[in-house]
Order: sequence, then C-alpha cells, then structure tokens
Amino acid sequence: MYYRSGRKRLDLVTPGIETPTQKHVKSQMKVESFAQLSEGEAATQAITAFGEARTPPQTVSNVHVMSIIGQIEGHIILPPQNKTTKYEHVIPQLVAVEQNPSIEGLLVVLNTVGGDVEAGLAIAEMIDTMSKPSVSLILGGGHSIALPIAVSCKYRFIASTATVTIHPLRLSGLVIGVPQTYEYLEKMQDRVIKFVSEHSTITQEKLRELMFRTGELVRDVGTVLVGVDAVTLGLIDEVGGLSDALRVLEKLIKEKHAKPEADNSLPEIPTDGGSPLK
Amino acid sequence: MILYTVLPIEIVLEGLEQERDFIDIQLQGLTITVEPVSLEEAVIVRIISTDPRHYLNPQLSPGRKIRMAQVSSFTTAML
Repeated sequence: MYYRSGRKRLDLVTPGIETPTQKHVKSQMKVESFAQLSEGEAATQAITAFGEARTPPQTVSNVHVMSIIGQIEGHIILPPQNKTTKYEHVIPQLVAVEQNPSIEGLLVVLNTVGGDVEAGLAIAEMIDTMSKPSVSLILGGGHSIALPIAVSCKYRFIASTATVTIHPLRLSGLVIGVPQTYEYLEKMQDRVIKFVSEHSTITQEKLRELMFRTGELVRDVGTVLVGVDAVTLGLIDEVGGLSDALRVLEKLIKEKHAKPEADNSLPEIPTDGGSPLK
Repeated sequence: MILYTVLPIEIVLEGLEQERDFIDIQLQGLTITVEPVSLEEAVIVRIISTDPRHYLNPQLSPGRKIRMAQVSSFTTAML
C-alpha cells in the first residue's frame, strides 16, 4: 500500500487479503509518545537513545537557544551516520521565536561542519530578518556554511580555541542532478561571499583571498581561522563564551525594550474614497 | 543540492542509496513522518504542521523515539 509521496505504509498485519475488519483495526493504530511516560522514564530514555541528558527547565527563560550541529541538512535526507540539523525544522522554529511574545531573544550556538548551501543560507536569511535580538556563539568549529549563519546574528562570539574554515565551494562541493559547471558553482560561491561581506566588516576581495589561499590547508586551498583571527578580520565581533553571549543578548533585549516600538499601524482609510497611501 | 562542508563528500554521502522506510502517522492531532526501528518503536524524522509552536515542542523533535502500540488484541492475535 502506498501513501503520500510514494512512501510505503507500515503493514503491521500479516500480508495477505485484507478483510474490512483488518483495515479498520489498522486505522486505529494507537501511537504512544514520550509525553505519556513518566518524567523520569522519559529522561532515562533520552539518555539511552541520544546520549543526551535533558533536565526539566526550572524557570521560564526569555531566550531561545538554537544549537546548529553536524551537517545542515537540506533537500536530501542524509544517511544516518550523519548528525544533522534539519532546516525544515529550524525555519518554523525561527517563525515561532519571532512570533512568540514570551521569547525575547535568540542564542545561536554553532558547532557545525557545514552542509547544504541553500539550506544554510535560508537559515541565515531568516535570522537576519528577525526583529528580535540574536547572538551567535561559535564553539569547537563553525565551518563552511556556518559562517553566513554566524554573521547573520546581530552580535557574534567565537570561543578562543574555536575555528572557522573558509574554503571554496568546490573543495567538496557536489551537485546532484544539475550539471556541475564552473559558472554555477561560482555563482553559488558569490552568494555566500556577498552575504558574509554584507553582514560583517570584511570586504568581498579579502574573503575571496582567504578562500583561495594556498599553503594553510594540507591538500587544497582555504584558510583556518582560530578564535581571535576571525575577530581581527572583522567576521566575528568578539572572542568570548557562554556568559558573554548571554550578557550581550540581555543587553540587546533591554535596548530593544527601551526603544519605542516602530509604528506598524495601517494607514487610515480616507472616507472620501481616495487612496490610503497618498 | 550543493554541499558546502569540510567533511569529505564520500563520508557524508556513504549509504545514500540505501532505501529507508518512512511512514506518516497521526500523533496528538498532527501528522509526523517516522522511521520504524522495530515493531514497537519508531524514530521521528519530521513533523508536518503549519503551526510554528509544534516545532518548539521537544517531544516532537526529530530523532526522538516514540512507541507505537496497537490497541486491538485481535490484530495482536493475527501476528
């Protein structure tokens, strides 16, 4: 039996001729979620399943933390050995952050090896156009497509030992189903360069130079920036850690509160039937 | 799709051809795509919803395991 988008539907009953009763039973398949488990049981399962300890939050925070880890997964579901950040989940989360009145700021924690260009840029474009304050923090490594995401935040931090790798798109770039032409990759690369240079103080020329610098990476071209290097080049604002990032975020939130709200009210419709935009 | 990553492409895409069985189920009133890992358990792959709040719910985040149980003893007997 095939279901939406050609996916196979789970056949829980023995294959064979289906009686109407069986069909009926199948549709009643009950799904039990973690929500129905006791809190302790759920926590234990979270540890065994993901190696992740999740303690229930004690107080309600006004900051939403978004950790972007592993590969940024775009249009193709990556094989299970990859840890991925799914962009189709991140995008609505950003919408929720922007729209939820109890969330006042966004902290983006980056520790990623790169991923889909379009998906990464989409996340960066979303964060960039949010009205709520955002702070990014690069820990460990924020490579390739992580850079546009980092610079899309209003203020960015990098840990002193964290690294950012800047390299051309075609170092390990891959095009599936599209002819891999030089011009095409060049265009994609220009989008990344343009976004980063527009959102930081680095020039397009300098960024391109870093991308194609030879001698630093063992096999190919590119540059590895460690902590303070990224700050000197103007890509990142400051070297710092968690407390610094939260302190700045709180400050940005306070500043936003102090500023009077922008006038979003609609223009009054004139009674004489003229255009409201006149 | 263009991957822009520091990892070698063969490591990232290893096993891409392998077919994975995804099913769409109804859970708490919304549709989610899951990958069954055993007869009783499935891992959430993605949620299909237009309500942004659903995406902030940690119980529904991708990678979480859920338990699928059948209600009818009739079907259990059939198995």
